[in-house]
Amino acid sequence: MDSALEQALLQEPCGDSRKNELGCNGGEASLQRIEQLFKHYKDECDDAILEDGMEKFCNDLQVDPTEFKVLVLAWKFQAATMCKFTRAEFVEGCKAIQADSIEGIRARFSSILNEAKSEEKFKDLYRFTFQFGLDCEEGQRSLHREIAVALWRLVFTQNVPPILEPWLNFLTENPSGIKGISRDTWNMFLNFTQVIGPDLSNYSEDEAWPSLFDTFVEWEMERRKKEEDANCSTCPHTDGLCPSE
Amino acid sequence: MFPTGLSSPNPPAQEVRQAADGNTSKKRKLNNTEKDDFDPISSPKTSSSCSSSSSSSTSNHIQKRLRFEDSLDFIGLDVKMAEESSSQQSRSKNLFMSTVAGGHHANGLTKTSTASSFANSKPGSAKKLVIKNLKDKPKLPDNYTDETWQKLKEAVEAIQNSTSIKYNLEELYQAVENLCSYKISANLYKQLRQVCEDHIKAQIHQFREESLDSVLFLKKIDKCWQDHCRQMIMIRSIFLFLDRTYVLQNSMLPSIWDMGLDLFRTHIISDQKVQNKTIDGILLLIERERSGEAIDRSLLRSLLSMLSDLQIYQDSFEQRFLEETNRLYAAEGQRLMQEREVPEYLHHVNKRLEEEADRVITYLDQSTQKPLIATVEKQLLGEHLTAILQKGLNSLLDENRIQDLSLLYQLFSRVRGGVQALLQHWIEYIKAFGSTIVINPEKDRTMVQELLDFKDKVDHIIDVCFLKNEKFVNAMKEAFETFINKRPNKPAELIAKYVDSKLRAGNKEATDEELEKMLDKIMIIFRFIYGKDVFEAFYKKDLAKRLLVGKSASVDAEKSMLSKLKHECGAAFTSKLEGMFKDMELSKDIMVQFKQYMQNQNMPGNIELTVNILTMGYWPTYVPMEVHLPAEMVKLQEIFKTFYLGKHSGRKLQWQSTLGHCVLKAEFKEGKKELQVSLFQTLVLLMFNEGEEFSLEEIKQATGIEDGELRRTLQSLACGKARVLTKIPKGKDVDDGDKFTCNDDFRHKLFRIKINQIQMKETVEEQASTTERVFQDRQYQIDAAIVRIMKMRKTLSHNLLVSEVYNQLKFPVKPADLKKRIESLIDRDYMERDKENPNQYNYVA
Repeated sequence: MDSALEQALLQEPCGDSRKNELGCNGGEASLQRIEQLFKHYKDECDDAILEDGMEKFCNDLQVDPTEFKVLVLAWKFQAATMCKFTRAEFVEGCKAIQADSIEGIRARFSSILNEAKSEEKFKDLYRFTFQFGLDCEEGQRSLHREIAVALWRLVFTQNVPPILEPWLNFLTENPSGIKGISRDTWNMFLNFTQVIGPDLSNYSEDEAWPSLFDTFVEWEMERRKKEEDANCSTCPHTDGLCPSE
Repeated sequence: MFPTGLSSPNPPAQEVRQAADGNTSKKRKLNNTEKDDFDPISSPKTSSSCSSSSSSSTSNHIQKRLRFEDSLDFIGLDVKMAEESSSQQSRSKNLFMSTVAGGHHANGLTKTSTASSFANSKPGSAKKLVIKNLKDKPKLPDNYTDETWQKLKEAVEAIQNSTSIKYNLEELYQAVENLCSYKISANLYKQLRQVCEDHIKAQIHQFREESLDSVLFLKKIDKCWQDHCRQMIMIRSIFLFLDRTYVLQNSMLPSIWDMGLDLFRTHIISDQKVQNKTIDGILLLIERERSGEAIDRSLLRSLLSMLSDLQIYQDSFEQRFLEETNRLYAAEGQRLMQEREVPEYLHHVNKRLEEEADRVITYLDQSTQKPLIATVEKQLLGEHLTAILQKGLNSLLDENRIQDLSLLYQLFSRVRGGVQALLQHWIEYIKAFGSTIVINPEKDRTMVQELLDFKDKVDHIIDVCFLKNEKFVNAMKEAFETFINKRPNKPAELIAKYVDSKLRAGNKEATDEELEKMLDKIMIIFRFIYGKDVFEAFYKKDLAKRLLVGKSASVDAEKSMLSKLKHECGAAFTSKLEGMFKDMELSKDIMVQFKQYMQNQNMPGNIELTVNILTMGYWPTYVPMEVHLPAEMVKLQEIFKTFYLGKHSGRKLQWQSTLGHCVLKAEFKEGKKELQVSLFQTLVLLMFNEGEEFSLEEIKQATGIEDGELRRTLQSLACGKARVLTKIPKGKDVDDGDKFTCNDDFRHKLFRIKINQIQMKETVEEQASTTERVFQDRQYQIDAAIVRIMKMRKTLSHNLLVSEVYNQLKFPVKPADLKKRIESLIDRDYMERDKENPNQYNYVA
């Protein structure tokens, strides 16, 4: 007990002020309690929390398994795969966020969410998300298109870039018939949201953008032009209404 | 503007033109005699008195003579001269003029040379002689001067009024000389000038009449001018001595002739009304001539040379003339461009240019040529370059109108920017026309022939019409390259097929020489094509067919084509093709050995086997097809296999049943026949040795031929031209349940009959797969190039990588495709995107 306490104190330099926030159960992140927590959700055969345990875990945390919070938590736990926490991931993760109970974890959410807002951390989270989405056991190298769309929507929950919606529409319509999103394309999309303006005017095919972006920009420009034309053709109509008033 | 030698315009310059009609030789002769006359006289003089200035000219002697009046010889000479000239005058005007021409010219020369020779001779020789000869000077009677002047004045007036002169010319000439000798030259000159001025002043009145018709007016002016000239020449002949002594020594004074011009200019032509009327008249005449009327050209010539002589040609005439010309042709160009077709217009322009050039030769001053022609060119051509090209070039080229095109080029090269504009339209025409040949898939059958014809036509036009202008040749090449590659791959494929059609046996259209020429032309077209690998793939496929079926027309032609390809694309390009030829030759050797081997084997049987050993990789890939061969064939195959592998152990033989063909002996009711058929056809036919009737399914079972292939095979045997089988029920297509029997009543006029496989559908598939293979090959090549470059550079920006890859690749790649290959390589961990700079790649070892 002592050693656990010491450890908890060491890991939390500003412990005193936080202690109260950590909750009613005293709040110190003890290894034992983390282990107990893990056991509570652990699969019967495997030494890991699997789908059922995960669902229960999310229920107890009062979050939807498809929520951004879960993604951020998985990121904090450095989970290799979706819907799965190994023992090591869970224990190290809990230690890292200094929580040893459901309430403890719940209490950490707001600060983790804040952390994910910084550009550097978000980049890490963003890149993590791709790996997180891959089915490692099957040796996948690229994300299935539909999963990618969902993950993109999820990862940008806190800060939706204007280009995201058109991009996801493009992927949903999928005119070029692609199946998977490569890691490079995934990673570069973050650059794309940061560098390319909402009007896409500073996009150039000659730069090193993945070719899917070329297709997207062309498709999107075409769509916007059509939309504009459609708007224009309605203009005389509204004009026609004015004199009649 | 005037040639420098004629700075003072004088009659000789003008009259030489007339003399040129036929008297040039005579004139020269006269000049010579004149000189001869001087020479003997001058020589004693030089030897006796002025030895110091030995180089002095004839005129110099005249000068000296002036100082020693007592020397009678000289006077005698001059009289003789005068006589000579006056007698000639009566004989022919032309001759007279030209004599004077010589004299006057000499006079001109004197002016310059005397100045220098005087300075030289004064201190030496002149002094000595003066002392000796000036002792006694005869006195003249007091009234001599006045009387003599009266005589001269009468003579001048007689000339001016065209009446006869009372005195003989010799006497008058002498009188002038005498007067001059007594130092009254200045007075004489002044008096003469006065008489002339009075006369010329009086002339102006006749031009003051308002009512005069312009042509009549011009004629009047011309006559007045001609009279003036004639009179002045005569007057000057009389006063020649004055002209050559006094006037010469006073550089400020104009010669008598020039004085005449001066007076005429001042009193007649400088009169604004007269001048305007003259110029207007001239311009009117020229305008009439331009609109097609015949006019008095000699009148114009005379008047215009008058203006030149009076030195007012440029100021009073040329400027207005050019303005008029500009205005006229600007309007004409505008109008005719609307009204006329381009060839017609060009001919008109050409005609106009010729007319104007003729105008310059006939009556305008030479100096007008440049600005005049430039004006016409500008207004009729320069202003309409684009319009002409847009309106007419395409149809000229379409209709291959060689002469009109030559004219077009010739005219356009006269104008600044003309050739450049033509060049631009030329490029566009080739691109547009070429695209119509290449783009339309319906024209694929004739594409290559049309390309060849088009190239021939274009070459011919460059050679004949555009004078082999290199710019046009280069532009043509670029344009060809552009349009041929507008449609990727197909032209390359069709060129390969075209060559195949020419190299295949049975092509009796061309002799060897013509074939060779045709191949050369094909190579020129081939050169324009980017995707040469597509060509190679199709060429290889066709070459394989030719070689395997033995249908190549001539080995020489094949080899020649191969060497052309090698020359064009390098050895790597043709190495596989050469390998195919090598395989065929090796196979022949092997077959000779195999025959010997078979003889030693003492094998019973009457089947002859020929095998071609094809090295994998050299040849197109064929999908192996397992079929059920008759036992005899299988046995033969085994024997060959043992034989071959015995010689080359470690090799693997794979039999290509699709490529085999056989000759079958058959006996029909009509008689014996030989059937040349494919292996599949053979398998089907052999079945009928065993039975009478088989269904489709039975045949399939027995032969093991793939369904589609079998149906085509049966179709060729039962529904083609030579029907050795009969299908029940009859019909064009082979359907399930159809039955086949042997057609014993088969008839054919030939003994050996070739039954072609039906291949229509196959070629479409083949073509698709060939193209597909080419594209796959290309992907590997792109990947290899990217990895090669990255391995060498380790780190490279996107743009540099792309440009390096383009440098290495020999076929066209779309940038988007290139990007995809890069992405694929990133995905496969051959390279990675730089973590800091997303525009940069790193090689992953």
